[in-house]
Amino acid sequence: MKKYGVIFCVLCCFALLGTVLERGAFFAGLKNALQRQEIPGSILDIGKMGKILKERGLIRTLPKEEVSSSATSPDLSKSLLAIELEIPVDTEFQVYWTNKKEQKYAIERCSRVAVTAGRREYVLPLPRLGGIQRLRIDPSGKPADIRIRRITLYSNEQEVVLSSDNGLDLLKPLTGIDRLRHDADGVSFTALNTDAQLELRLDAVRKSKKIERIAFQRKRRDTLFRHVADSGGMHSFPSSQIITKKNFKKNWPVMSLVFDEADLYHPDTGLVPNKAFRGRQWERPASCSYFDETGHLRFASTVGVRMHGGKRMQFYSSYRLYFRKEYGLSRFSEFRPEIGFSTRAEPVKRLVVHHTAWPEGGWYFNNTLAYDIARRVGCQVPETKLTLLYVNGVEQGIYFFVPHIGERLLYSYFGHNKFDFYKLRSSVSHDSFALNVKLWRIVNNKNRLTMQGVGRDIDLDNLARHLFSVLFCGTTDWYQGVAVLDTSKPDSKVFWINWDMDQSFIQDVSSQDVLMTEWQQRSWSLVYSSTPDRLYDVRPKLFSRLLREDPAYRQYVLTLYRDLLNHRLNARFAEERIQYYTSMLESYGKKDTKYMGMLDEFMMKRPEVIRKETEKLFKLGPSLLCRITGPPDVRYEIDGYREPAGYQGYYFKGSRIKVRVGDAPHKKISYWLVNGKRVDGISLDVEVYENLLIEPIFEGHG
Amino acid sequence: MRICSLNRFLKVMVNFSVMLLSIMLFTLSEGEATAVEKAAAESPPVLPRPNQVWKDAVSGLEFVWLQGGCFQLGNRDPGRTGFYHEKPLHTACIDGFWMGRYEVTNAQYRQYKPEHTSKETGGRSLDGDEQPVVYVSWHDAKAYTDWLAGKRGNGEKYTFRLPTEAEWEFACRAGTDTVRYWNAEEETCRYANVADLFYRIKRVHYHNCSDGFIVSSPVGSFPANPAGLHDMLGNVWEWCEDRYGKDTYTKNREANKPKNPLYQIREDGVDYRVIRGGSWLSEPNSVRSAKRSPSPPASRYNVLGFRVIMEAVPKERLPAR
Repeated sequence: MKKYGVIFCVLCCFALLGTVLERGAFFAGLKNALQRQEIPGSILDIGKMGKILKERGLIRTLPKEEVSSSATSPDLSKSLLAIELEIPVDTEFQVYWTNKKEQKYAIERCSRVAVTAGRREYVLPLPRLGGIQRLRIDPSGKPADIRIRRITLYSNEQEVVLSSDNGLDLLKPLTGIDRLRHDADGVSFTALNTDAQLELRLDAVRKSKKIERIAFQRKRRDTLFRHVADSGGMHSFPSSQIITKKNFKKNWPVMSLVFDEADLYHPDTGLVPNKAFRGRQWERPASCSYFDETGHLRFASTVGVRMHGGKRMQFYSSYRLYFRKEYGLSRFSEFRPEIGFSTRAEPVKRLVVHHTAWPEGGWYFNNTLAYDIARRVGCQVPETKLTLLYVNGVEQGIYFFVPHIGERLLYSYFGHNKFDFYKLRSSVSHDSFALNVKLWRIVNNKNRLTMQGVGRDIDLDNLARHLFSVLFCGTTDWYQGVAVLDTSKPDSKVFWINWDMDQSFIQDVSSQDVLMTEWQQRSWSLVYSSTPDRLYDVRPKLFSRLLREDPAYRQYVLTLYRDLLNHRLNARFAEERIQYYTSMLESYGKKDTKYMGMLDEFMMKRPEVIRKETEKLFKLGPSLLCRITGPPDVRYEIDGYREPAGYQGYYFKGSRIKVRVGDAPHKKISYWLVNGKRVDGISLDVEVYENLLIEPIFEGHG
Repeated sequence: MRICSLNRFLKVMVNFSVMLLSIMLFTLSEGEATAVEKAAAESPPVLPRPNQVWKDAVSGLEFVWLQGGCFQLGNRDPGRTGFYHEKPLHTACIDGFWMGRYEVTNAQYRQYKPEHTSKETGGRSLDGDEQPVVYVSWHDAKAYTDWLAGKRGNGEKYTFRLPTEAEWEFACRAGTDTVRYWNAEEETCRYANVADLFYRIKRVHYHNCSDGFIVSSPVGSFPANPAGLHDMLGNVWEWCEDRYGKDTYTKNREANKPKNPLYQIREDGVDYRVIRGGSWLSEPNSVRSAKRSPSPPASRYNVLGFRVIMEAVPKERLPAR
């Protein structure tokens, strides 16, 4: 009896252990599923995502008449004939068509395909289906017993239903066919010779208007876009729900995107495996939520998402978000980027959620810091904003928002559509765009280029600042951005907008100068040369010619660059930016002292590199130091820039320094001491031939 | 008298039943033994010839023997800056192995999981017995290979598994060093089931020819590659054993261990497995011997199946160490 008791106990233990293990497996599975955050199904019409959105009343289906007609027009020239064929021999299948009633079949209007013995479905391209009157089918180049199981015509991505019998009942034998035998599996016949022909008359079907209805439909009405998000219920969006408290980091806003898994990873249609493809066909809907720095949900809608970026997407993914009313909300009002030339700051309709992915390893702030520098020196550059990005609940790292520079954005900045622009790409040839043609005509002018002459058409101040940002940051991949001309005003000038400066600061490993430190890397040689290495790029050629051929422009550029180094990219600016990015990186949870140290060193030492190279290139001699002393509460206006007390700057030999007192509470300037010598006047304007110590002397302090 | 007759009748019936039961049991046990013996009898040859075909009588899978060797793994196109993750071209040395002659079909997979359906797409079935199985995750494919091993009985524990991507490319190239084993893109429709003209109205990228199939085709509908393997390119993507890494090949080359490479490093935040070969929905760029793509192991798609390899010699037959 005792023995049985022991066995019973052992069995109970096994049962208990089994239950525990099973539960363990269950919980492990649940944990895995949660970690993977799998949300299968398609987002709007099909799949769980669509159901969730609809059940929660977050989207409603629009009636047909309200569907936006902004979708791209279909290519009406594309139609297809698909035919399912069973044939015992390898041969050739041909289809001829006629476009007019009495037109004869001819070889110019023929589509053919090699067929293999067996049962297969072949596809033949046809011209615009709306114009076709009759189709002649030559099913075989050899005598054979043939079965046609199905004939399908496609136009505008839609199947054209010809008849209840898939069009097979419309087939008529012309020659070389014994007779057609219809059954449940299609139509069979014997091709008696090499001239066997059948005919399908579409003009007869057309009377029923079926073909016209489809073939002449002008706008695509894709069910995918027949939804709008209701304004309320932002918290119910999957992209909102997937974010929990642990996803937030101090001072970091969060953008969350939730895709249908297939839209991301399907091997042939998903975004991730097909990153290189572009265009509307590669846009996928996603649920999008944006939380601000304090963790408050500010935005939620469905959006269209495409991949963004060039070959560096191999390392990381950047995304382009399209806010369209067909998806939900038509603008992203939480980001109103400013740009220099416009006073307007509109919510974006297209947003790039960008990863600075160069070089591999994630150089977190290359792009944003370079944009900061470009903005500081007066370039036309869009505002950026750092963010964390989560895709299907998985953190992607440090990203930043930047508006997508295109026609729509320029339209919103200008407030009108009278402007000309083109994007700088390696594929842009000299004659690609009217604006580019115009620029090259100016640059290729054999006469001497002058600031005055060229300046009538081109904003040369913008060009100088634009190229300064490149040479300062050491941006090796700078054939990017946009050239713009406002055509609404007769005196408008072409200017450039900076874009994607991620290859800044870090030494270009393909360069010959790999032994240099980052801050020592190429500067002037990027943009100025007697024979610019960028033959496809109008900017360096124009800049180099003007600097060589017009002393006035050279002087203008030297003065500008001196001022930018002294007054804009000074130590205060460098410290403030480095401190900001260091604190953001620390909030993110990383302490990459190597990277931040490199940036710090770059910002502090780069101005000297630029100055020395400028001296060398233009044979200016060593620069001279000018210091201004005085009471600490006095503010100055030096060379047109406001500066605090204790200013010091470097000046090319022979250039001028202009100083006047800005804010000096309860003080009135009496005279100046320049290297101990008295100079009278409210303002000071002296030529610099030696190091200068300037001291303002106020009344009552003599 | 009547009771006596009844007893005798019952006795006879019991004896008869026992006899019948014994015969049935004998027959059954004999049948089982025969299957195992048959499988053993049809075991793959220990010293196979190159490209020799062997059919596993138990699962119905056919295998082709690929004599091992060294080859150049990766993208051979030096001029293109893209295809970073397919570079650098480097040497890999593979032991001989039995490669599935075809992709695993729906019928074969349903032996393991009878309820499996490969569904349909756009009104066209993907679920035909001879069509390759799809809507299977990497885990499903692994479970199938484990099931195959167990299926062969107690005496024969073969190692069935998914190919590594080096093995897959070795098998796909079959000695060729061109972009595809038939090379010219224009000839693709003769050799593979791909996104053909049918996708002209749906997509920007397609093959400008007609291959005879709108969706997946029955396996073996297209000519085999030089090693005798069918549908290595096109029809359905095939799961590989390896984890996907963007710079797998760089690391492989740096490691300088060309023997049977298998990449198993899980990269930050992602755990993709490699898929190879392209499918009936693949544009020209995806139908290449060097093409590799990432896919989450839990994903199931209408273009994604697998094929099985069998390791060269059953472990049990190896001499004891």
